[in-house]
Amino acid sequence: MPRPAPQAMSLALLVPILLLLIFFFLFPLAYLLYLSSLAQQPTLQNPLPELSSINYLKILQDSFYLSMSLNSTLVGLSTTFLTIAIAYPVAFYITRISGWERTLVSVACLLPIFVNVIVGILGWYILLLPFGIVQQALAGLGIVSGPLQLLRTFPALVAVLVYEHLPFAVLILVSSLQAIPTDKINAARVLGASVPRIVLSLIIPLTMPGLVACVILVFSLSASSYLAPILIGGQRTPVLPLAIFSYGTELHNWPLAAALSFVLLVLVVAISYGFSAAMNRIAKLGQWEFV
Amino acid sequence: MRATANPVLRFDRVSKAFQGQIVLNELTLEMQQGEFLTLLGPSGCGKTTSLNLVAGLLRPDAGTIFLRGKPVDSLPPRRRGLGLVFQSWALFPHMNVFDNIGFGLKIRSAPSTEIRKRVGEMLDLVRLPGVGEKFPSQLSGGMQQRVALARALVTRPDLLLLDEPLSNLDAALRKEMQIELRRIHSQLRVSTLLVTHSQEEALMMSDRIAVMRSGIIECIDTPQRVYNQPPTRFVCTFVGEANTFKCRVDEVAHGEAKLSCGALKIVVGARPGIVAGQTVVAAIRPENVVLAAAGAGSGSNDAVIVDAVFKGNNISYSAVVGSEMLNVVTPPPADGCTLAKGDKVLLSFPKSKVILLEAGGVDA
Amino acid sequence: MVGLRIFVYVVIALMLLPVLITFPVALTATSRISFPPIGLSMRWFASILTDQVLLQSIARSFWLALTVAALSIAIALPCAFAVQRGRLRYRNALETLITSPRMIPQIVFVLALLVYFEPIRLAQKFAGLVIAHLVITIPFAFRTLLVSVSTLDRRLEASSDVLGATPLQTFRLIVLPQLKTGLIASFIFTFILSFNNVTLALFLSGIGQRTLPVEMFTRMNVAGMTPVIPAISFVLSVVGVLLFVVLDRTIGVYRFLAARE
Repeated sequence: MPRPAPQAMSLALLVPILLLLIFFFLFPLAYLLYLSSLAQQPTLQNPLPELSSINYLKILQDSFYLSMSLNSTLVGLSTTFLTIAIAYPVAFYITRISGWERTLVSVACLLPIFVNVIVGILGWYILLLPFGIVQQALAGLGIVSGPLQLLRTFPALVAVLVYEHLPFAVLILVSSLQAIPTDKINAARVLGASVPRIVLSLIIPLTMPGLVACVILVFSLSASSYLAPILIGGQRTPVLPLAIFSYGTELHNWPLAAALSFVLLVLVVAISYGFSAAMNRIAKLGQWEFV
Repeated sequence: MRATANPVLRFDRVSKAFQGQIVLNELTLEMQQGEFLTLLGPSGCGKTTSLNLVAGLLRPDAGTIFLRGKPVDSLPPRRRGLGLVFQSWALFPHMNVFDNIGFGLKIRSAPSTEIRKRVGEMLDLVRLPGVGEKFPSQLSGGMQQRVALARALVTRPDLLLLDEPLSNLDAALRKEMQIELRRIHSQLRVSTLLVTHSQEEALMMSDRIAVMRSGIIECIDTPQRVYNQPPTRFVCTFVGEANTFKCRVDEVAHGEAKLSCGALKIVVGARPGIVAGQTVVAAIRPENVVLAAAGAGSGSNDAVIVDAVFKGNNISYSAVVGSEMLNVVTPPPADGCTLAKGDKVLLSFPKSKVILLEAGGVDA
Repeated sequence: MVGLRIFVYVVIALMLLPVLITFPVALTATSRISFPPIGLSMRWFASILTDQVLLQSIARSFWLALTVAALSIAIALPCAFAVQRGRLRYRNALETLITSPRMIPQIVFVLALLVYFEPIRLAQKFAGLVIAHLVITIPFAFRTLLVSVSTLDRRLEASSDVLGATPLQTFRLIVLPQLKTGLIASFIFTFILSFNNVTLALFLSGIGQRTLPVEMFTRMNVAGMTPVIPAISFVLSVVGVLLFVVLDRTIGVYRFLAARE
């Protein structure tokens, strides 16, 4: 067998990526962290302001920011829950079909990745206009009359976010479900297990890692999502990314924007790991029985 | 084969270890120009490692390898002038047969007319005319084997290395390819080093066999001598079948030595170093045991048949002499009467066919 | 199963609806976004070709994505080889580092880049945007290519070696053809990722240097939207669907995209 590459050669091949990551990923984040602990924006007159935790204190003590964090969390959790509730059966269905039907279902579910997400948001925007399709359909059925204010509501925001993130959940769950061989399910059926029983004690435990990955991914993506909140959610449901954007670009208060982004980061990481740890605990406690 | 001044390949106390395990232990051997030498041994004996060392795919930890008299330690594989065929043949799947075979020539920037001529010659040599346009995935195992061979030979290497090339073929194809390899070797007279664990292959194709075990060569000799006069118990039992007995030398007189192993009695010609009272290991191959009906002759052993297996071109008997079990193989009898379980027979062991191995004998 | 089937097809309808709705809306003869469309006309589809700003943003997106995809592979491929074959001691840590950009919310990362680029004057420049895209696409290209590299048959390279080829020749003639599928998949998916990216482009492309998604977003959010936006949206949808179908039928989509997790 060919000699393994000498260490020096391997390290040389890694130089470009290491340089890229160090200078354009780690350094910027470190600089952002530094910024977040400054009392004020560095300027030409005052290039090295003193360190202080004033920004974090401001965020943690002001109910405005706290409610914003809460909103982000709620948005994230609702989106995650709904997305997985929809993606799971769909992914299961996909694994049991093939050919053109599979391509068709996959196209529909993975569309937001292949076609720009803006297209989808635009579509939802049009649908949800005060006199848009949804209103017309409902008016036609006699349920409502007059303009329907669907945009700028929490449910509309969550709906669009679910649309945006369904592809990710489907992708992960499909590969997770595909790993379960059909003969295990057949064995359970032969033994007389009912459908809910099969789902609960066989399918869900075996796809647990995929499920956890899904939750983490969808939650972090939706809680930090920017486009849907700004185009659909609006000022009624303020979330952290919006504040980060306005403080960062419009108001040029970088230290505060930086602090807000780290709050968001901590929020996302904390909930992700918390969930992951909780799932591990449950998996150990519960007596998952494998056929 | 007489040793010539310049062996094509020489190992000089070559050692190699992997993760603390010694795979080759001061291996020394010489291979002559034009010879077909086989490295034979069980898995883990170091034969494939030796091949990889010759090819330059591995570097020795100690010792030197010489090709055509020159040490090759600093030479990368591409400058060693070798041909190599892997067990999996390793044909380039994205190239057709013609491009596969011509690869070595294309690398050397040979003109396309010459490439076409030489590839054509190779295809004729391996008896595969007209498959040039096909891709490896469209060929059968035997055909891929031939293409791999042609590819290795087209550059006219000084030494051809074959790493268990027939293991992936079914039995019938294997026999056919053994004959082919032998034919190609005698036609081209290319020095060939074959690595295999199949003793039938080794016996059939080689000019000399080097039997390896645990990183050293236990014996290197012609197939006949390896088979008929194995120096160690391992070689004796690895190459061909053998009945082995731990015997006591009862008496040495009149140029003969009488050995006994329980109820079993063996007589061999006396040789220096054999004295009464010694323990030796004697062996005899199943096909050399003479079977006679009870009551005939003297100097034979009384035995009882315990089992008889009809194998088509021979019959394999298990017989018991006292507490010793023997395997005896005979051609099917002319009258069609085979012996059955419980039959009494006489077994005798021709003196010239008894193999004496080292006394005591480290367990193989 | 029947209940499941109905459920799935309802979901499909809901997923396709936002995309399909752009078509009739774009067919309107007036300049208002409304459904049902008022009058029918192809003028907005035609106007795509005369809208200079829009066309420029399409070109910009295209070249950006092309550059990012090519550079992404050029950087990730040697990396995949080094990790797979280098027998490095810190392989796991390295893999985590390389894929870590995808674990940070894009909004946090883009803010960090924004404040970081300002003093080194890369803000609002094409190069800055390329770099930003590279950081988030390379983890994905790396993952995909790592799988491809790990399935290489090294005996092919050994054979080529013994036959006389230099390492460079072996790489060009034997290894690259073996990697063809992985390289193509990597390229296409990285291209898509870059082309469709909004968050990074939004913050980092300069005024007048907008990529297509940013241009669409700006018109939706701030500048006032004519039906040309639904028109280009629909065109993008059609392209996206065709691309997906072609990819799924040839190299398979789940295989490559699912590796990202």
